[in-house]
Formats: sequence, structure tokens, C-alpha cells
Amino acid sequence: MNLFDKIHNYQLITRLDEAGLYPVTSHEKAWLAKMLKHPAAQSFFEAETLSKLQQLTAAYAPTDERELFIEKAGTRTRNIWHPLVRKLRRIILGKNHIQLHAGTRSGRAYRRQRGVPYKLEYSLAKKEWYLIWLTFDSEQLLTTPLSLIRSVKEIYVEDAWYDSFLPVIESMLAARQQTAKIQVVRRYNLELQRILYAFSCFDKEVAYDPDTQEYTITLRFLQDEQEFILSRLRFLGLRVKVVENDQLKRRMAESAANALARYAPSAH
Amino acid sequence: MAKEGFDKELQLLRLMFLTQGAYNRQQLAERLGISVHTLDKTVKKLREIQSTLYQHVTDREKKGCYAQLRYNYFAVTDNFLMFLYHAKSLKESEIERLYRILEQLSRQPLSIKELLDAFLTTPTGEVPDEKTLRQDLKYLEELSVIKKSGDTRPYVYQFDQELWSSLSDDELLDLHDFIDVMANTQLPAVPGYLLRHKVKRCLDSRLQREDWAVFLYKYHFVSRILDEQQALLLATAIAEQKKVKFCYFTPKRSKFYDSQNTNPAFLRDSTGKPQHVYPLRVVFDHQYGRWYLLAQESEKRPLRKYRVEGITQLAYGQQAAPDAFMRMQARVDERIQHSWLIDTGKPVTIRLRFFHPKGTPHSFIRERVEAQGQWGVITEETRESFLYEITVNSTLEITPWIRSFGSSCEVLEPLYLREQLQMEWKELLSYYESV
Repeated sequence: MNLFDKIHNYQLITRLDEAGLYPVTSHEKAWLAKMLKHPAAQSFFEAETLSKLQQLTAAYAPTDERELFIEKAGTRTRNIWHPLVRKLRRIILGKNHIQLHAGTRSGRAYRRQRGVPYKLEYSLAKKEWYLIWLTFDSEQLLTTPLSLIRSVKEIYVEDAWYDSFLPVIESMLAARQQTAKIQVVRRYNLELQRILYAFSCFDKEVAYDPDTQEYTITLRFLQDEQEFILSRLRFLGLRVKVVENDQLKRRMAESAANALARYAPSAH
Repeated sequence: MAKEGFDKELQLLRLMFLTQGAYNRQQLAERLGISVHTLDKTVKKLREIQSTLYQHVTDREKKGCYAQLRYNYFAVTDNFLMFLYHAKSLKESEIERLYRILEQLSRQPLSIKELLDAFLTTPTGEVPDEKTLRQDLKYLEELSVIKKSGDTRPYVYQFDQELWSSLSDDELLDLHDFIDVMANTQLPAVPGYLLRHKVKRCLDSRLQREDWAVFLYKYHFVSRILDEQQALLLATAIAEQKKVKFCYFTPKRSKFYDSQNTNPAFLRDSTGKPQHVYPLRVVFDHQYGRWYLLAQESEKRPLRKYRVEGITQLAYGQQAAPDAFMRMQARVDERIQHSWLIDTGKPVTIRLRFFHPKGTPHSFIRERVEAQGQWGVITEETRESFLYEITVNSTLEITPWIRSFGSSCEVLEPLYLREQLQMEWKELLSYYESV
């Protein structure tokens, strides 16, 4: 299989695209056939659609059922799909509002909260689906795990009304933006690539000082991502040091002090 | 014509994505082992591909993200490194020809003769010779982009639109979402992204709008797709039990990267080492989003571990003896059975105490250990903490994971790991003592 096939050439694809022609290759059909065998496929489609797709791709299904790769150190996937995804994605597509009942991690529950659904988010770290939405009650932008949502009701509104909230949501997101500067400790420069890979799932910039041979990573993230960033920083240990962002610095100091305390002779 | 390789583009893209703005042109070129002139040319080519492919992306900010390869979570929902897979170059005349063939065959089924006639009515009026046309049709048919029908000559050809014509808008939306989720969560992903692009464009025109994508993927190692071509080639070699040859650049060098230049004018001493090995397993590491190859020169030689990103000029070699190959593969499977990633060091049993979070009934610590602790087991649990035990090949690869829990995890055994963590926390504290 060659992924760099000439049928994918950018000029050809663009011309076909303009003419509304979308050629599907045997590789793509084979890929689809393989994916349709995933147990989750059933929950994505109506039974009729699924069987139609299976029929269309059956001739291309790979005969070798062995896994191509070995995957290591992943997060066990509970489910790559949630029954509410389909419903919520259509409410967002239709530019409508929602009313929902949801629980919280602390055990409290919210009833009949009305709001504007914005995006559905899947965390590859936690393997869980979330709804990002604006509540009318608290005027907050919330990220609610779908697993905590008990029920959703669609409330039909004019598109323009839905759209009028988008700038509000975007400015709330912008207000939550934070930055941090993280320095690669020089004696670990040989591991630079690995360190950069560890941060490759964030929005970032890197600065390099050729005189001191120091690399500084500027991360941009949302307030609620802080915990994940802290765990990545601890993951890398002595290789990196937070040089700008007082909150992260303080948390790293606390974390190190508390962890060290676990090993103090009097601990147990 | 020499086979077109994409090692250079791939490495440039990776370097630019990972180091995001760290290097100037001179420094980039140096690290890639190419001249500044070649660098400029390659960047120009990549930019052209991007701007052609994403011309329908209207939002200014989005365009900025594509052009600068910036990971902007809310602005870009595509995998913006995918454009690399559209880099295969094609002559103007061939683009025109393939486009006309597909366009004509999408209107109605045609025989070769009819197709030749149809070329007369196209804007250029240029008719390809029959032999070329036959080759094109054969290529498109093998790719299953067109279908041949009829039992006897002349055969009739037709553009395969079945997928599009048999699905309603609503079904197509479900298909899009399915492909989107699978390409972003499963391996391999590139064929999925290629297909997704088409489903997306088809839906754009059917729904008459472009703002219908609602899924976001958080903490995604988008750059994992850069090595997928190599990973798939290696997986194929493994399935076919073939030896592979490549030039290897180990990533742990003062230079960030290096690439072989095919232009003799810039031929220089390469620091890469030629390898000729039996590929045995391709491993994907979810912690960093990187690929490894496990291989052996021969049954008697030690197991070698390569990072797939350092593999260039990959080519297939001779067929292996099936028995020997199976033996080598079984042996490597056994040896990595207890590898956190790929370490084949001495097995050691690690015992850890994890502490439940305070003030919440929801133990996200336990949840994380269960989800990420691989084959380790939770042995005892109290209200405050629980014990976890795992046997792994050396402590090296699991240590970052242990550390990531901070004070929620204490190493009980082995003693040397306990002492190591204690030292590390002490030193880390000194980084921030002035805070």
C-alpha cells in the first residue's frame, strides 16, 4: 500500500473537488471495511446504514485479520462512542438550545439547565466524551462528561439566536487562555526530541538560544487543562523546569514537597 | 523516472512542527543536513500544496494555523499535517487527463472508443493516445475508483459513485462522524483521513454550509501520522516475512535530524547507518505518540530497536526462511510481553501505593491506574489508598508514569527505585525552592 499515491495529488484532488467528484480508493474502502468490524461501529449507525456500508466495502475487507501493530502504554478505552453523541451533534448542527439533567462528580445533580451546546470533545488522555456548553443559569462555559448527563431535550430556536452566542463563547474561551514558559534543562538536551514529542499535543512555540543552547517552550492552554499539563511536567521530571507561570511553579513545588514527604522515615 | 521519495519533506515537516519557530532557516537546514537553497525549495513546495488544498478554508485564523503548522485546538479540526500525503507530484498533462477521464465517466459509462471521442469535446481538445488511456484506465480500475462492466469487448467503464449515491445526507453525516472518530482514535489513520476529507467536502456541498464539524480531539498526537507510511510498509514486510534495508539516523545525537540528499550536487557524508534486518514487530507508543521497529539481522544476532522516524530510504529485501522468521517473532513477542514500552531488560516486580484524592467520592486516581496500568493488578484497598503490583522489564520505562502521579503515588519496591524517586523529588523541589 502506498499512501503517497498519485490519485491524492493536491492539484488533481482540488480539480476533482471543484467538479464535485470524490473518488474512493480501494485502500480507503479496505480501511473502512476494517473499521466497520470494530464493535463500536454498531452504535454509530442505524442498522440499515451499517449493513449498506458493509455491503459496499465487503469486497475490499482485508483477509489478514492479524493486527498490524502492537500498541503499548495506551489508556484502556472504555468506549469510543457514547449514545448521546449522535443526538447532541445533531442539535448543534441544527443550531438549537438544550435543556439537560446532569449529575456531577461530587454527587450533586443539576435539573433542567438550559444552555447553548457548542462542541463535543473527546479526550484522548481520558478516553471520554464531553459536551462544551454555555449555561444560561450561571453564564458559565461548562465541560460536562456525557457519562454524567441523564437526559437532554432539544429546544428549537432561530439560527440567528444560536449564532449570537458564539462570539460570547469564543471570548470566554479566549479569557481562559493561559501561557507558561517551560525550559528544557540543558543537560537533557540530548532528549530534546522526546521532550518535544511529550508536548506535541499542545499549542506551543519553541525558542532556541544558540549561545546558551537552551530551549524554551511556550505553551498556550486553557485553565482547565492545567492538571493534565502538571501531570506531563511530572512525567518528564528533572528534564523540564517551569520558568514562567506562578501557579504552575507553585503547584510543582507543592507536588515535589508532598511526594518527598511520602518517603520521609516517619510516614508509615 | 526515479521513485519519488518523501523523506525530506517528512523530516522537515516533523522538525518544523516539533520545534515550532525555534530555528531560523540556516539552523533548520543544518539540522536536516540540506542546503538552505534545498530547504527553501522544499518549504515552497509544501506551502503550495497547503494553499491549493485549503483554499476553501475561509477563516483567516484557520489559514494561519495551517500555514504555520500551529496546533490551535478550537480553530483547526482537521489533522493539519495530512497535506503531506497529497505531495506526490504529477505532470500537468497527467492531471488534465486523469481529471477528464473521471469527469467523463462520472456523467455516463463509456467504452475506450467513446472516451477517446469524448476527449475531442473537452476545452483543450487534446486526445491522448490509446495506449496511455488504457494504462490510465487500468490504474484507476486497480484502485477501484472506476468499474469495468460487460462480459465481452468493448468493455464499458464507469466512475464508482456508489458510496455517495447510496447514502442519504443523514447517513453521510453518520459516516463522516464514524470516520472522524476512528481516524482520530485508531491505527492506521491516514486512509481514514483521506476518506474523511472527501466525505467532508461532499457534505459541505450537500448541506450548503461548512460549519457543521463539531468534534474536537483533546491531547492528540497529531504528528503520529507522519510515520504511518513507513509503519505500514514495515508491517507489510513483516506480514510477507521480508527483510528490509534502510538508512538509520539515531535521534540521540547533537544534531536534531539528518536527511539523505538525493541531489548529487549536495551529496555529503551521511551520518546515517545502513541497516539490513528482519523486521519483526512495529510498536506504537501512546505515551509520546511515537513508532518503533523491533528487528534482527539474523537469528543469532541481538534484537535491535529502531525509532521509525529515523528510518529513511526504506526498501524491501529478500524473503526470510519462514521457520526462522516465526521463531524470531515468537521470541520477540515473548521478550516484550512484560515491556512497559519496548524494554527487554531484566524483569522486576514493582509495588506501588496510590493515594485516593481527598474530599471527593470520585477516585480519579484509581480510575487512571485501572485505565493505564496495563497488566498490573490492584491487590489491596483501604479508604485512603490502594496497592498496585506489576512485573516489568526494568524500571526505566514505567518511571515517568509513576512520577506523573506526583504525591499520589509512593514506590514501595524495589528499594532502588524508591530511593531514585526520593532523590528525583528532592532535586525537583530544588528547581522551585525560590518560589
